[in-house]
Amino acid sequence: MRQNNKTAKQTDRFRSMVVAITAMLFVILFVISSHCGSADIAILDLIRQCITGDRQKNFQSVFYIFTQVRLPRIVLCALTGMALGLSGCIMQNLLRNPLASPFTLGVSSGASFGAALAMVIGPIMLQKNLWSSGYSLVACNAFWFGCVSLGIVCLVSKLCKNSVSILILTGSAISSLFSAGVSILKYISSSEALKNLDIWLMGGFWAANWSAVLTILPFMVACFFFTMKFAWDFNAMNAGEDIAATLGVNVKRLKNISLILVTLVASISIAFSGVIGFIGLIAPHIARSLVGVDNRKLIPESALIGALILLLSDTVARTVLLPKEIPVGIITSLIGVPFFIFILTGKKKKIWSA
Amino acid sequence: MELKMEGIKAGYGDKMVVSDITFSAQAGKVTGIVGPNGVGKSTLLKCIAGLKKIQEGKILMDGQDLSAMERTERAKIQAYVPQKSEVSFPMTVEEFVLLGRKPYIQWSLKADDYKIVEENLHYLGIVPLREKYLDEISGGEYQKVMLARALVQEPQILLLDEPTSALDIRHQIEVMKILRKIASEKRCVVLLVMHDLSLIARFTDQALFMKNGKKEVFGDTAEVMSEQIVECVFGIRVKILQTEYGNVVIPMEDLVCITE
Repeated sequence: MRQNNKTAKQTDRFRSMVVAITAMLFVILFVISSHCGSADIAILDLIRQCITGDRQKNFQSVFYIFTQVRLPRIVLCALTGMALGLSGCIMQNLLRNPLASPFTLGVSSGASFGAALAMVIGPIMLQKNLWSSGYSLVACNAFWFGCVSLGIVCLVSKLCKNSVSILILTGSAISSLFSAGVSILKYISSSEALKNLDIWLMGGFWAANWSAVLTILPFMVACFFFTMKFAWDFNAMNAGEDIAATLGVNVKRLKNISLILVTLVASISIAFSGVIGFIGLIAPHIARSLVGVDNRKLIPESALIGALILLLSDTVARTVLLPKEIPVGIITSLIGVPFFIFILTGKKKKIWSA
Repeated sequence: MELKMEGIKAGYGDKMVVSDITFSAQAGKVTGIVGPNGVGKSTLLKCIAGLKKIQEGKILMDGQDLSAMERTERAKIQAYVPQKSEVSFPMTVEEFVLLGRKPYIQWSLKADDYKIVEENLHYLGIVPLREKYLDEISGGEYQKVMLARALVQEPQILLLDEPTSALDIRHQIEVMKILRKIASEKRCVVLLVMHDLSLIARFTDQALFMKNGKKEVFGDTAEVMSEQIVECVFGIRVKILQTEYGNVVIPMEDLVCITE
């Protein structure tokens, strides 16, 4: 009997180790990624120069590139990956659906529409090209329209008594609506705006800066601590809403707060990076195959896997065709899909219910 | 210990599904709720479980109002096993049973939690299943796992919605025997909704017969279960045969009009 107890605990500990290992991999990738790029930067050398004061001629420019261009980009990329992985995990838990992702409630198409609106209508109204001069306006608009779509979905599902199927259906209906909006804007836009828009829709981190990082960070931290605090409640949700409720979970409140919170986080992160959807779907599945269904481990693992995949993709995206860059969304799918299929088929144990 | 329902009234919108339900179930006894489909049995059970708000009435456990209790506190004295349940992502039997400790867990699992899970896996004889996934086990085993999850909540009240409906004849008897054992050994109020009248006759101590959302009769099963009451509630004539293994209810072919 005691022997078996140990086994359950050992599994628990083993899974914690997996999370720790993933975190270490992430740190390693982070360092490697900061080395790679169109400018050659040796971090250790840079740090040494900072500390000793023995500065080379190009120190200023290298330092600038590192702290103002590369570092914010990597950090933003990691945060976005975490946000998408985490919110995907929570969405799948709450909607009890393996196909759910952060964008199930129509946020991505809302955000796309917002961005398109800023890029296509903006230049006409303000007589300047917002893509180059007002990137933040595009992000703001994307964010607000992401929220609008979430608002509509919440309102409709409230009218229909909060059922999960209604929520998902409304989400896809709203998605179609905003996609139509994007199509209209594409149709009437100039060729330059069209190109910008297409690139935004593919997703990328060209315009990353520290203010973007600082905008996402507090939401991400809040979301992480909130979801971790309720990890056991999410676990109970896996057994079904009725059982969760009789286990002491305030199902309605948990659903409302966390759906809004994770959708907001996803909305903010894609506002800066464009639509990178796939990660939010696969990161939680990969994480689940590694650490099981216990959300105390699954939530951080999903976030880390999301960050790992996105950071890897972005590093590849900005280095393979130097000095050109590939939109990260393309690489995400190219790397993510085969890896995902490998995980799905290679695992003996099932990742989702038959 | 006594679970007392006082004038419970509940429904959907303006339509009342159950009304004026008053009865009490004692610890150590198995109490059955009986009635035709759609009579409000499951709704009543959900009200008692706290899944559905009651519009009027009280549910008292030893004089303590359950609906006024904090959710987590309520989950420590009351467990509910729904008729159907499915996990959204595969879990092992042990992981699932551990969920029953939710009301007691802050963050990490204590040695106590593992111990109670272990005890209940033994109690229900499902230790060999612990590593199995829930979709790999049979219906009978599944029902025992559901019971184990409810038992690790260490409840004083155990509510079950048709615990035998998906089981074969052997597992029906097995589960009913387990429920009787739980009632007497763990001093639990076991309250269940069931369709099988022969199982009701044989394994429950008390029965509540419902008709049109109201209480038709409540009392010791042996006393209240009669050919007349079954005909009155279900609208079919039956014969109750007394055998050495308890009473058996046999339906006859004449359907009877139910009067309102």
